[in-house]
Amino acid sequence: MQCSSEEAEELRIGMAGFTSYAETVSVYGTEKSFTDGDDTPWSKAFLAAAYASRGIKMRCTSGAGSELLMGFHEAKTLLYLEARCLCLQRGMGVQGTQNGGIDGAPLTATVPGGVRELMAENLLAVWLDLECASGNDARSSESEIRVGAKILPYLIAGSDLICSGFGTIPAYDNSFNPSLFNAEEMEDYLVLQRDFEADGGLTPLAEHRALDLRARAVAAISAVLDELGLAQPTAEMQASVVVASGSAETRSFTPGEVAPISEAIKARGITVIDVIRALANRGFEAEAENLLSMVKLRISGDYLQTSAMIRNGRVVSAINDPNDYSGPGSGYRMTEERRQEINDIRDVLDQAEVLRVEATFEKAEMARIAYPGAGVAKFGRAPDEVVIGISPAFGVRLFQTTAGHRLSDVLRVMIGAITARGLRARVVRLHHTADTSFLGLSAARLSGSGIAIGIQAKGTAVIHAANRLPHNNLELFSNAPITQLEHYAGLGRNAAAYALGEAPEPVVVPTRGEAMGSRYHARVALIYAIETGLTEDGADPQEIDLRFLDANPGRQS
Amino acid sequence: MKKLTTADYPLAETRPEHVRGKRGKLLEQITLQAVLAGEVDMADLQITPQALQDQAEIAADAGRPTLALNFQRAAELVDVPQDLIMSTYELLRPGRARSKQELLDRAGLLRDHHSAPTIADFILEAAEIYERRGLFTYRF
Repeated sequence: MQCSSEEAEELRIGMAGFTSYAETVSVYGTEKSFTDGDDTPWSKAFLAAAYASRGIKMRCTSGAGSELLMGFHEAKTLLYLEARCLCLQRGMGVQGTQNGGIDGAPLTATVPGGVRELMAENLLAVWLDLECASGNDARSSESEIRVGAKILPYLIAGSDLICSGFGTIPAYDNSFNPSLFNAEEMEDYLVLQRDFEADGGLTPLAEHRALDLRARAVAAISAVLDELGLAQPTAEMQASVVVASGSAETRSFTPGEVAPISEAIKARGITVIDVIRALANRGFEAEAENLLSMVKLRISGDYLQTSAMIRNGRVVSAINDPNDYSGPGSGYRMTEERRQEINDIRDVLDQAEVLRVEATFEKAEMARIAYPGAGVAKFGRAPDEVVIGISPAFGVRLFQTTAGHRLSDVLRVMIGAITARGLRARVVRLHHTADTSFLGLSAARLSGSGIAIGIQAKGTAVIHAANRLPHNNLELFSNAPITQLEHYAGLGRNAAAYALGEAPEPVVVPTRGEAMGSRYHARVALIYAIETGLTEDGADPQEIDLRFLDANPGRQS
Repeated sequence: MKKLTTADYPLAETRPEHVRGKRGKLLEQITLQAVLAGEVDMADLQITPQALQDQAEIAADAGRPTLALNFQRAAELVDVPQDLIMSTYELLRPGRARSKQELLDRAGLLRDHHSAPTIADFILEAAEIYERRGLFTYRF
């Protein structure tokens, strides 16, 4: 695809076989803008026929604000001028458009109703039976909320192309204007596709696969340049391009070095056939086949019809796959196979991943603490004991709190605070429940003082009294992701105080809602499922003969 | 011959025996091996006036008469040399032709020497409009 060169140059490149789709052939809604853009409706219509005569697909571009930016708006509304542009495109016999406020989108978004106008443009294009690349390319606002709001109708309603071409380059590399979505927003866009079951044209790729493809692409292009005697990219150049996010990280040819290469391609009359040969000669047969199949498309002209694209080597267009939208439930529907592709985003968290990460802490934790069982837990008689009831997976499958504290450290500080008041801490493991409140209450019923701490592996903890109703606890740490060791020490101290009949000031974990952040919910659900997976109805609590194995029990880090 | 309809689309699949490049090669003859053997050149990858006429019939049947017209204009341009296409495009840009006559001459050339009557009419239409709108003026 060739974007926005000077029109004559673009046609020349297409004729050499280097492009199959010419885009961004601009039209304007007033005569003055048109001539200022150095064209007329007739010159552009001639260009359209010229492209078709070479078997090259073409689309126009227009959009609100261009006439305003160019200074010749004739005091007409934005939508009226765009309606003119679209009717002209239909009249010229062009198969489609890229519109919806392109370079003029930021300007259009500044006026009342401007963003609605951008959508209306796309709707007009559809009514005129044109392929519509919905122009979500220009970033109409620097506000992330407004960017998100702008894309929403397209995610719900769909469009031939939600973006004319996803901006796979970082914003700084875009010489027009950053797109609505750039390389920086790639992961967000992939997730939006999944969340809204919207086909935005991208397929998630594992990193190793992306790297393989990039390495192969860079090697193929380098081989072609070398084979045709145009340039010899060094190994260092190639390596830098494979891993670069943007041009700032590449060590490639300078613009001054590129110009003679382009000149040589033109002067020597190099065509796509030379490139296909070069690819095959250097072992890139698959790439050569691909390129050949692309240029072969122009022979039948099937690709010239409205909304044509290539899917699995076949041409699909508005002729053999027409827009059959007739209300909710009709129109384009993703196949189950495509849905699975879109769902397959990277960095998915599942129970196996949680267990894998936890297991990496297991060995070190086992060197610090042991939880040997010592039979069924007894009902305590001594009033000077505080029981700590731990959950089924505590120190068995899970080894740290969601705040990242080792469970051995949490137990150490709680027990330290209890013994500091001259009381004894007894640890039991509950097997019939993983619920914090019931961990606490069950432990309290076993406690000689009637006071216990219940704690889950993720760090949620409670002080409960034997004579209280479930959930009617004395103190609760519900915000495990922000609960620190000093808070657990405070919990131990206060449990001891209750056991001694005092009324201590409850420990407060200062919160601004961080722990309720959405990032924790899936992880917590998975962790809790690991806990509940180990519970057994009616199972007896177990006495734990807790041992700290660390040579230096005072160390907490 | 019966006019083509949308049912005949895509031609490469429904009528591969009729889809030929400009030198008459069938799609199946244009293989990588043939390219490597030097048997394929750019002309083999060029669309023919017939293919464009076929696509015009299909577009018309799909309810896109203006797209069909564009394909018909394109059919006339297939055999027009690239340089002439480029210079005609240039001539149609505002202010390039300094008088109506330049466009009339170009229309005559395309009609008489390149069998392009539709294109010639198209240029005549432009000439009338350019005159009315004062586009034969100096721009640079």
